[in-house]
Formats: sequence, structure tokens, C-alpha cells
Amino acid sequence: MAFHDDLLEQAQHLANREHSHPRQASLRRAVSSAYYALFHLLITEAVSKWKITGQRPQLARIFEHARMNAASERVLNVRLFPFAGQNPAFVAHLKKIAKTFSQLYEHRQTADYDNATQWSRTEVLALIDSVGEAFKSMKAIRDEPIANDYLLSLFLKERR
Amino acid sequence: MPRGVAQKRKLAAAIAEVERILGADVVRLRYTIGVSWSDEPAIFFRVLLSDQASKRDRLHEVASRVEAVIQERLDPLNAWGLVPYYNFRSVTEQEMLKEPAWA
Repeated sequence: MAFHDDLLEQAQHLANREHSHPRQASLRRAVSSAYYALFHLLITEAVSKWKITGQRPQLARIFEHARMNAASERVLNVRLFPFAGQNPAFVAHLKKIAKTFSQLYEHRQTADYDNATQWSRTEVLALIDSVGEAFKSMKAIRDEPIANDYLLSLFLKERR
Repeated sequence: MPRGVAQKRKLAAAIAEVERILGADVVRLRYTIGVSWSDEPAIFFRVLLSDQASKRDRLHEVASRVEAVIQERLDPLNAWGLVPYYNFRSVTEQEMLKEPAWA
């Protein structure tokens, strides 16, 4: 299995690790793993467009979390991205991916750094489910121009 | 200033209307307006689900529907200038965790 698939499976394992009283450590690491599953899926898809396979690992290192989040949030802004004339099904898939990244980016920071937040299994499983759905959406549009533009925006510096 | 911050009462009324539409799966809808880890204006929804709606075979469908209804009726980002974030919890989990913010 690919690394991102392994991370998603690990997230599910951690979320369900304790039967009745899940430990906060398990739930928080599950959120983090789910985020990194999507993070690495998007990077894998983006660098797969680069023909020289031996250079892909180096290319993958230029991606930055905050820039990827900013690009994802821009996609959800209808003034910046009205998507007029685009296939509505493809747009829905892209928005699902972008929204899921934005959600997980935020929740991952809370899970990793905020010791005051108490997590429940339900909220963690809901997040993991959403990443699973984002995986399916990426698969559905991976060869479409709309996905290529998004993947490019994940590592390009925004020009003003 | 985002509209959701400038017009808090209007936003509260709009959210109350959405809560009415969500049905029996949603026991309570709470929210906080603040800033995200990226320092963007944000709204954090806390959705308390019935235990039935939180079961493994229903959770994804219910959570997706709640987010879709909020997006369609409220559109927090584009209509109110607030990036929405969602947390879901079951009634039983809240009884164990006893967090005032979810009450």
C-alpha cells in the first residue's frame, strides 16, 4: 500500500485502539495521521505529474503546510473561484478535497498542540471518514485539468 | 471586519434557523466565533448528535448532511466571512466529558 493509505489505516487503528474509553493520545494521534494521509496523498499526486521519477522525492520536499492550506481555502471562496462553465461534478469533488484539507489542517494543529481540547471518538471518526471520501474524490478527478490546477497551486507562491 | 463578527445577532438567528432544519439526529448546535490557527476569522461548530446518529454505520452520512445543510443555508465563508470548522460528539460522549461548551 502507498504511504498515504498506510497513514489513513493507522488513523483508523488509533481511533479504535481502546474499546470503551479511548485515550486522548490515541485520538489526537489519529487526527494527526489522518491529516498527514491527505497531505501526502496530495503531494504524491502533484509530483506524479513530474516525468523524471527519480526527482520526485526532492520535489515533494518543497510543499509547505500553510501554503497548501491557503490554496485550499482559496478554492472554497466563490469570489476568487466561481468555477463558471466547469463540470459541476468535478467542482464538487475538488471542493470536497479542499474543504477536507482545510478542516484537517486546523484540527491537526489542535490535536498536536492544544492540551486543553478533549477529543471524542465520534469527532475523530468523522474526520477520518472525510479524509477517506477526499481520497475517493482525488481518484475521480486526478486526470482532470481542474485537479492539475489545484495541485499546482499547492506549491506555487500566490502572486498578488 | 467579517459580516459574521459585525452582525452577530443576525448570524445567531440564521444559525438557529438552520438548527431547526437539522432534525432529530442533531440534539444541539453550538458555535464559537474566533480565529483559526492561520489567524483567519473562523466559526467553530460543535454538533451534538444523538447516539443513534453517531453509530459507525450512520456517522458519515449524518455528518455530511449537517455540513451540507450549514453550507447551503448559511455559507459561513462566502456569506459571513468566517471559515467553518466542525466537531461532532454523541450524547453519551458528552455525558462522560461534561464540557460546558457543548451543553
